[in-house]
Amino acid sequence: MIELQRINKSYNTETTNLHVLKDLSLTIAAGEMVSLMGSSGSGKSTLLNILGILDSYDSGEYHLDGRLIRDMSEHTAALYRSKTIGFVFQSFNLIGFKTAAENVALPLYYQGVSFKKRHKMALDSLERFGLLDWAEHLPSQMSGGQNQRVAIARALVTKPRIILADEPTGALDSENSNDIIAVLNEINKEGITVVIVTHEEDIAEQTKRCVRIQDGKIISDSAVSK
Amino acid sequence: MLIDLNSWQEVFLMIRRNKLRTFLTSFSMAWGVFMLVVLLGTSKGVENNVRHNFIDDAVNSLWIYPGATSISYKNRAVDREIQFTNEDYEMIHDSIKATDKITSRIRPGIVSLSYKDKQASFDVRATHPDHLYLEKTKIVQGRFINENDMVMNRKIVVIGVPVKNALFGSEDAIGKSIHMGEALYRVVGIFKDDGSERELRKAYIPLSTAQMLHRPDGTIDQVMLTLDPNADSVEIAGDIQRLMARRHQFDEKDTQAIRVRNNKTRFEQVSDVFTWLRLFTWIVAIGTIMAGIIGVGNIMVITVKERTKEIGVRKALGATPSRLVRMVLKESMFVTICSGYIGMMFGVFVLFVVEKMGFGDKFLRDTQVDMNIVTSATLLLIIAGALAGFFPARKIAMVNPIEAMRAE
Repeated sequence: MIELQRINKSYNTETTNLHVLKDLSLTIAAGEMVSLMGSSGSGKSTLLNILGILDSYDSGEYHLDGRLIRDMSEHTAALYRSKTIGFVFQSFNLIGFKTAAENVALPLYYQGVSFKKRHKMALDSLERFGLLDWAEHLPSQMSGGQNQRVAIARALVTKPRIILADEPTGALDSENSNDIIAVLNEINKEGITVVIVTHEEDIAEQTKRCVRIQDGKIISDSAVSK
Repeated sequence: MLIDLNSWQEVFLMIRRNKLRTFLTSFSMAWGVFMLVVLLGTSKGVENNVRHNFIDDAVNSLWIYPGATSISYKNRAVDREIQFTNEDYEMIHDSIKATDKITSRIRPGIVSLSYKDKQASFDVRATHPDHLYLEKTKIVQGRFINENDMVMNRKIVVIGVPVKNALFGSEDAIGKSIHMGEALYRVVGIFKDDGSERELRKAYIPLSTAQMLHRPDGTIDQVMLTLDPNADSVEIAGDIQRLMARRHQFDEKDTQAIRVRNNKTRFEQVSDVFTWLRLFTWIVAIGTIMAGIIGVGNIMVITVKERTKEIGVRKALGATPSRLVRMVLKESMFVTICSGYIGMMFGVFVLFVVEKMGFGDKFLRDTQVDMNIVTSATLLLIIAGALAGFFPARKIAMVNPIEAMRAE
């Protein structure tokens, strides 16, 4: 599903040359549930950006679902993202002036789904996460845990093959965190590949495979023992 | 793509849910257009009003007043006063072939008029019958002074509508006699005048009657004449100057001895003022438009900056950069077009009300606005708003959504 081969990425400014990813190779098969662990500055966020086609890389090869992702125009990248990947972010990133249902329907809007149909799909997606009663609420009227579940409902509404979650529990208390991870596990059971970036051990322990990154390199890659 | 229902629904949602943003953009847009309409309309109204007041007097006319010499002529002292008599009137009448209508005028001045127990003071003028045409007086009832009145020195009077109302109220005035000083005058006509109110508060009596009673020496205060439409009023004014110079023994170049007021030249001078007024209006109008452009542009730039995070989210969810830019533009253009139209309508409405409330008589008349100019200015503001939204939107649409989302 995801195949990274000797990926290099540096951020060059006039004064510094920051080599963030160093010859990093990683393969994630379809249906896996992987956690990417690392402290801040380890390069894990950069890696996630590259996986999500949100950023480019300098050398190496990245194949997503069998397709080489390289030198894509913004336009193609957007279309490809929209079809393949669902994102979940630490700060939820719901649009404040839209209701839960409208937020969930937004990716469908960008896929050209009609208003009626996407509203129905959004409600279905919300129902699945027990949020049907909150469909007409604005993000500011819901708790953090509810917001993150809306965000997951939004990531899933397009039926992506991969969910990329960037510190999905970072802004939540432990109870809500566990709830969110349970939700992600459930999604994974349906065959969707889930990649979670986190720095919390107990979150990583709830995934099936843990990849640790330090200084732009993978230092360990092991199955999580339950 | 413009009639893409889906994207319009999205735009309307944004407008509905972001009321403050919509209001600020609309307000600065509507205000700019409103000010422009009011400015252009008022300026045009003032111009029309001045033009209209001019119509009160025959444009192709010469008004001749006696003055005092300012240049020594044949060793005679300066500051010698010139006095016109009936002979001057006759002479101009006979010598100036282009004369159409001609009248002398005497101003007995403010005189107390009374009818029964009512009394009021008005300005009385004694004139020839042709005066009717010089001031473009309009008779609403009865008649003006005629030749028979002149020959028979009749004690008749023609009064303005306000004079009639002051003395007679609703009573019929024609045929009634009013006291003017010692004498009794019979009212034969009532007039109105399109010019100012001042021109209405007058009473006209025959020149011959006034001379018989007050000016047995046959002096007059001024001569007024209209010319054939094709006549060159400037040339004829010169002819009259020379004619009078010979008769009254003053230097031909002495413009103080007599004054010849050429209404056509005066009209042209006022037209010059209009040119400057228009230029000034345009400078202010361009300033207003620029202030509007900066206002609308400023709000657009801030709005787009504020929406950085939202744009980042949309991008992560599959929006292409061109779609994001189109979205921002559609919203801004929809808002600016609607509010521009509202501002335009409101401006026209305000001009209408001002005119109807009666200020119109004094300052404004026919406050027509050139809709082409207003529409172009509105379009300019819309384009400015669109451009001001376009560049920052394009910039944000190109950045990494992760970075855009981090912006607070």
